[in-house]
Amino acid sequence: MNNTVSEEATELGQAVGEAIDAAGGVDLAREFERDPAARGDVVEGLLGPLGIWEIAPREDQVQLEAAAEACRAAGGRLLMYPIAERLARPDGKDAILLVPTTGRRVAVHADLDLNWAAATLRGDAARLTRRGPLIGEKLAKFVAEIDTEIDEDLPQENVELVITLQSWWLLGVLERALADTVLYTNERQQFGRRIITFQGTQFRLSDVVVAVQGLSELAKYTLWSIAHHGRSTALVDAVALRVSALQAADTVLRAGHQLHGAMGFADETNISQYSRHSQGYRRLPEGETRSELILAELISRNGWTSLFPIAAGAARRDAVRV
Amino acid sequence: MLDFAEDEKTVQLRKQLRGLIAESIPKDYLGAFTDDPNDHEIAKEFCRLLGENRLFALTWPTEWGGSAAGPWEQTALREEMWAFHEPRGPQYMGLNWIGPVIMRYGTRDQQERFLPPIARGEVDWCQGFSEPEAGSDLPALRTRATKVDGGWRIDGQKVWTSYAGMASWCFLLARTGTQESRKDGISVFLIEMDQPGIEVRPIPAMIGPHHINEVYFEGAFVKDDNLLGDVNEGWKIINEVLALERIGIARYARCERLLADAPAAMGELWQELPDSLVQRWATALMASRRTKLMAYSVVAAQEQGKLDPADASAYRIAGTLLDQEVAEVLMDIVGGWGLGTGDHAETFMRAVEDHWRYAQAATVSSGTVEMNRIALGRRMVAK
Repeated sequence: MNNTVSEEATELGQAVGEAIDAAGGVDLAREFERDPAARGDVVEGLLGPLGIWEIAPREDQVQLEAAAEACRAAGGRLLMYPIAERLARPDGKDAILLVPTTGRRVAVHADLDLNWAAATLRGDAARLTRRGPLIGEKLAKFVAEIDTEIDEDLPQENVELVITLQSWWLLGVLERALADTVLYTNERQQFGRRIITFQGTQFRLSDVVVAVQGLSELAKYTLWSIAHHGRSTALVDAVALRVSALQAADTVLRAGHQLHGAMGFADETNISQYSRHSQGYRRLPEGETRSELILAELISRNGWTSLFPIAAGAARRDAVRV
Repeated sequence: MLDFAEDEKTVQLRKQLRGLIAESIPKDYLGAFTDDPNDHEIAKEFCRLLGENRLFALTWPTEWGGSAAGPWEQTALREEMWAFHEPRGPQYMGLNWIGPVIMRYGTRDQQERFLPPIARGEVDWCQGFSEPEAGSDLPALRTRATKVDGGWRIDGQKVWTSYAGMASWCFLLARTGTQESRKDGISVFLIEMDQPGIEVRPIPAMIGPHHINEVYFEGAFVKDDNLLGDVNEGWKIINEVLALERIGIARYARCERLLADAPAAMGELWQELPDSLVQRWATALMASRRTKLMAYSVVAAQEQGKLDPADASAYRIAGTLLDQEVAEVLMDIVGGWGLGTGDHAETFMRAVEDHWRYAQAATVSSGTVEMNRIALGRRMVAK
């Protein structure tokens, strides 16, 4: 058992983080909000020289881990660019987009002019028939309208990879949100004390730590799983990771807002940026409840690996019940 | 590089353990702590069987009857035992923390007297820690040890002492300094339970018989050579016990087993469940895996000698809350069957009912979830 990623992956993550920090770190998200069209060129200039687009996560586990650490480092600086989607690109495409199957047809970063593959969270292939402009509202600065056609009988290559890498990006955001909240509560004084010295604050933060540590360990396992298991198991595991990431996002960012007080709603604080700009990934292609329902459906169909494995089909259900 | 595959030795150990369980433990066995005295006998017999196969004290040095196995085999042993309703009964305590601290702080004579019987799976221990006025605030304990000729006289009261009625020995904390000396006036004694000065009174409780008891000491006697470590130096031993205890129980393993058993055990009823409940079941499977991985990260850190106790607390918070969350999901799945079946054939339903009752104590026993939150919260306060 080894729960540490390779040194090469760690080093790449550090290099990605340093490159983004040198260009302004989280302030880049503010810059992209003002000028979303700039993000392609800016990110190309930052990450291109690191050779990041040469990473082939399907070739070997070291490259897979490097891709994940790059996404985590990008998330840790709230880099609003489809790094996970590009690193998970299927052969012959520039990137892979996750698209909803119900409700409004929108997707994060779909405005970017890339040769997109597309898929649903269930792993079905989709075709992108239209890419509209960015919605541009507070919670959707980088979310664009789309139209799609879904082919329910055609599995899409690399869908488990993009789900997993997006979760690593979210993990980066949540780790940073925790670190910022700990810092803030250590500085902010009320009643003549730093607010972190109140037990209520510590208890809230301890729940956040548990959520982030749990997600981090599950993210590593899932990465290993998609390197070592077939597609049906890997897809279940990737969706399970997404569910965990969404749960953790709720815990971490809700506590982050609460402990920052009114300051946390101001655009000048980073917690506000993490909270707003992660919305796209938290609600799309499917939100928390639908992701959980899809997880249940996939486990029922494909099984579940554990100390007491559930065989494919063993938990199958014939019809939906309410 | 990441590697979550189990090594071959651990895979073989799991097979061997499951084989022994299948041969020796009845299918409807729910642990040693029931009203049926046969269940305790089954546990005692199973411990002896493990001892014969040198599987009981698996990680102990061979000198003390162990097999010098590594931490991952120990983890697998914990998981398999807890998943199958702890067929070792109360003896896991002797193995997991009483034996290890005797190894570390005991005299040669104490090691020779106490360790081999534990390793052979022959002796039940209980742990005399909590008192009516000393729960989470353990340094407030009042049970007194007074020096007398050849040993110590023990007077006082312990409470919530699991398995005290079954145990032949007690790992007892007693005050040897002044009350005000708190942590600095506590000593550890290894005391025989079968003596006139000790009375055990069971406390009827929802978590089941034998789980919690009061123990009254009135002029009980413990010999000088059963003092563990030095007089008034017990707190460092206690700290070590508490750290070992925090990792102790692999609660997630029983959660994984019961959740995995649910579809087959429910049969046709599985089709009748609402989607929202199956959604909770699926999410609970994910949460069990996540908690297991947190446990593994603690074991890995411990293996490398880099374990931060606050991380063990984080795992313990996750593990105990998981136990209760899974208990709720399973009770919802079995519905009215969870209130009791009166029928031993319905093993799964009974197991769920047992799990729910026992899970209520998860966030209280062996260090409350609040104490673990305090430990974790403190780490974040900048100096």
